[in-house]
Amino acid sequence: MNAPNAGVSSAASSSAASAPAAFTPQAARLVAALKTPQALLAMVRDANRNRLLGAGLDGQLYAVDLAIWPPAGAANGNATDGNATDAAAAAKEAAAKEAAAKAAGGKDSGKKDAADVLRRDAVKLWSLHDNYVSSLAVHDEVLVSASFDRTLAWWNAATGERLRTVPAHDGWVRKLAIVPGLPGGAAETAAAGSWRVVSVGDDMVAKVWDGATGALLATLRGHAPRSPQGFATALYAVAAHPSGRFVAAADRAGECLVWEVSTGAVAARFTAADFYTYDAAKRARSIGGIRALAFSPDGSKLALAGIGQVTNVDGFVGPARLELWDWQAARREYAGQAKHQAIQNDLQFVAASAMNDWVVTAGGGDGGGALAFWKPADAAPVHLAKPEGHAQQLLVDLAGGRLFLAGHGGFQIWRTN
Amino acid sequence: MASHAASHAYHRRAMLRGAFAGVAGFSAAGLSGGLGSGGVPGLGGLSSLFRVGEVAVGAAEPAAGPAATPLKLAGKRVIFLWLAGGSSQFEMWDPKPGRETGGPFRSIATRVPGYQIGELMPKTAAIADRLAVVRSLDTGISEHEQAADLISAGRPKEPALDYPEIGVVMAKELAARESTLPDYVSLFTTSEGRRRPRTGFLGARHSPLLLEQGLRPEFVTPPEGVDATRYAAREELRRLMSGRFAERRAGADMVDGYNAAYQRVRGLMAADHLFDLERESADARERYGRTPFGEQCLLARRLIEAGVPVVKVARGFWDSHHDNFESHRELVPDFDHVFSVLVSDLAERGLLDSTLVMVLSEFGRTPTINKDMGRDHYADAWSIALAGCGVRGGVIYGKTDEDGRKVVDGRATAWDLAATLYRAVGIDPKKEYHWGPRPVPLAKEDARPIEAVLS
Repeated sequence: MNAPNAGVSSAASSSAASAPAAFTPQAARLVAALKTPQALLAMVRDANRNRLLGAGLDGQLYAVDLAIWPPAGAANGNATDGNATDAAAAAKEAAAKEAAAKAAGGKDSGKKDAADVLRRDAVKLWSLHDNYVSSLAVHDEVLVSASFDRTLAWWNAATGERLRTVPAHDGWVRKLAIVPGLPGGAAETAAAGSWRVVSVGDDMVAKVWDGATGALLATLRGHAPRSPQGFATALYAVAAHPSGRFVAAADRAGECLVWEVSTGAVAARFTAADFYTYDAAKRARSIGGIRALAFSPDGSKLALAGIGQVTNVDGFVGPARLELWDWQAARREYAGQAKHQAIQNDLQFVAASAMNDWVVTAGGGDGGGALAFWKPADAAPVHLAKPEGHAQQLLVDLAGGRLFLAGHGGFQIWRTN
Repeated sequence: MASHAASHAYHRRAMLRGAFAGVAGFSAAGLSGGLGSGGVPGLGGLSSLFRVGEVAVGAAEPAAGPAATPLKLAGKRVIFLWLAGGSSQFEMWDPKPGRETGGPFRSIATRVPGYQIGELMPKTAAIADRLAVVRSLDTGISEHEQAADLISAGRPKEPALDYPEIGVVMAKELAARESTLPDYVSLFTTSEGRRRPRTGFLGARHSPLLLEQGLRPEFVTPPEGVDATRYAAREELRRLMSGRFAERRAGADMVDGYNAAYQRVRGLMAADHLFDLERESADARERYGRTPFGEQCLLARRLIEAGVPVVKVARGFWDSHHDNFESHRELVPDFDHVFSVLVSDLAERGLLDSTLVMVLSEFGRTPTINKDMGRDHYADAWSIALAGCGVRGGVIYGKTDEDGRKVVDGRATAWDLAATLYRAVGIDPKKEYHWGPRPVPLAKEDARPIEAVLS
């Protein structure tokens, strides 16, 4: 295993200086848990309706009204989902619990019996797929869902009307992402309509779709169809470059490819081998893979998350791991690991300059749930909080001092200020 | 008697080691296998030797070797496929698509009308008419080692009596007296959950040949500088000293055990080519695949074809407490391919009717999908599959409820399964061995063979 970068400053000294006021990782605390009947795998924020949407194992769409937990410094807004009276009462209760927690001066890292955590059921909206829903994205008034039923589906986010379903991959669809439009309305964006979607599946290809029509625009190839040992593999993660010119995908064996969307040409290829463990001697099988991928806000770096080398492939018995790569040079610039044994299923940059960014990852495993705050100069997370259960996806509301998780048990609302 | 034998056994072994360094090393390794878990190679073999003597004293059958194979058992063979760690019935034999417990995999049709199998097994679906699937095992024990003991022996453990495993009994019953091949070859090349088949009260003489480091036996090549003439001279010396030792100190029964081991070593040395897969055609190699499991099953077929009565292939490791669906995506297609090729190959070679192929595990996996997308151990409702000798193909026996949480029809125990396996190859489950004066039936007294899956 490669050692994480050396020559790092201490976590405490490096963490406080660049953190925005509403984003103090050490203050992260769980304020609400919104239960769903089965685990969620996907979550997206529907800004037009100020709500979170989530879906997972039961194929249903669930919602959480974010007006109940307004951004830091804002007053409770008008709740929009479910019964208005009930929502208003919930908002009042939420505010009271947060005030009590603040008065007590305690942090809450997700203790299940914590009295200041508001617990409710998430609101069920409509049925998306008859198999697991693996990914969600919202573009304006349109919700797109990806499923293990091998399809992508487009929905009117306000009404739940199904706009179209597209057979997408020959295998489970693992993730999707919105591809931003090109600056200045470049030809391919104009030809494709105003927005695009990229998806990855177990057929080991990435596909770019016209967001407006559902038409297939490009199929991006290059990932190995089998694992290095000849077994089934998977294409777990996809990300779109901020410019809209490139998309990246990463697989179980740790290989990452970046394509230029307009030509389908491979722009970069590298392997982050430490995310993949094949145990030939003890158990004759593998675990791991790059489970999350994101371009830095300036587009120069790719962040990869998953799990480091696993000692027991029966489970996630290995360190939570994050790497940053200069993807154009195919050069790794940072590798960090946590002592906490967990795979990281999602990641998000939370500031604007690549190597000085904070990165937040979320997941779970042998050590329980994991919410890790990384400052990519430190070899280990600056702070690690424990969500309730295994987290599958996260969203950071930097300015609002909120952080949202979806996973086992449903949604979780955290404060980061 | 035991302590007396112990002191002399050590000196005897030390003497043999000096005289026959290369071969004695293998012999000790083979003998030690009978200890089961926790045995220390070498020293473990010595303690096992006491049991050889005890059986010889108490057994109704002479200890010199297996009785002549009855005509109805002649040529019958067995291949155990042991899915170590506990494979998931939901992802294989008893899918529940669309249910909360069912997971994300769909089911597909098979050649058996009305029977749906997990979508990861399309090749097995195509040979389902050759299989009998039991979906209603309720075996109770969900701890690895104890459950493996239960399924392997087909009966609960008893403090007073160490039962042999089913494969050991089958090897004893099916072995031809004149054969110089091993009666039982066990391949368990991964280390997690590794089991060395327990010979129990039958003693170390019935220990299988263990292939744990690779596909070829170790220590069957004479040491450097020992040519055939010198080897023969050493063997003659060993035989002379064994005779004297038997006469003056240890008695014939113990020495018979050693002689049997040496006989097997000589047989192995002569049959080393059987373990050489390079002798298979390129087509056969590709057909089985170059995965470890594929190569082990090809070797199993070679050994069966050559006359080895029992071969066990362990495919680890199915314990999937986290990421169950990803691990089964990796493991099941490999199993599906190799298993279907093995059954088809045996059929094409005219061996399937005389070869029982069984797919066993220590238990299944839980209906509940845990927080880490895993399934835990579950022994209350799970599945196994059989094919070949004595098996009625196309029978899907037993049923679980719609969520796979409990058996609703055809509940079968571990001892029912054991009796079924014995019956499939023509061994009477009620046949009795003797431990001293105590009669010991092969299967537990209340075992009921699953008649529906027997031809």
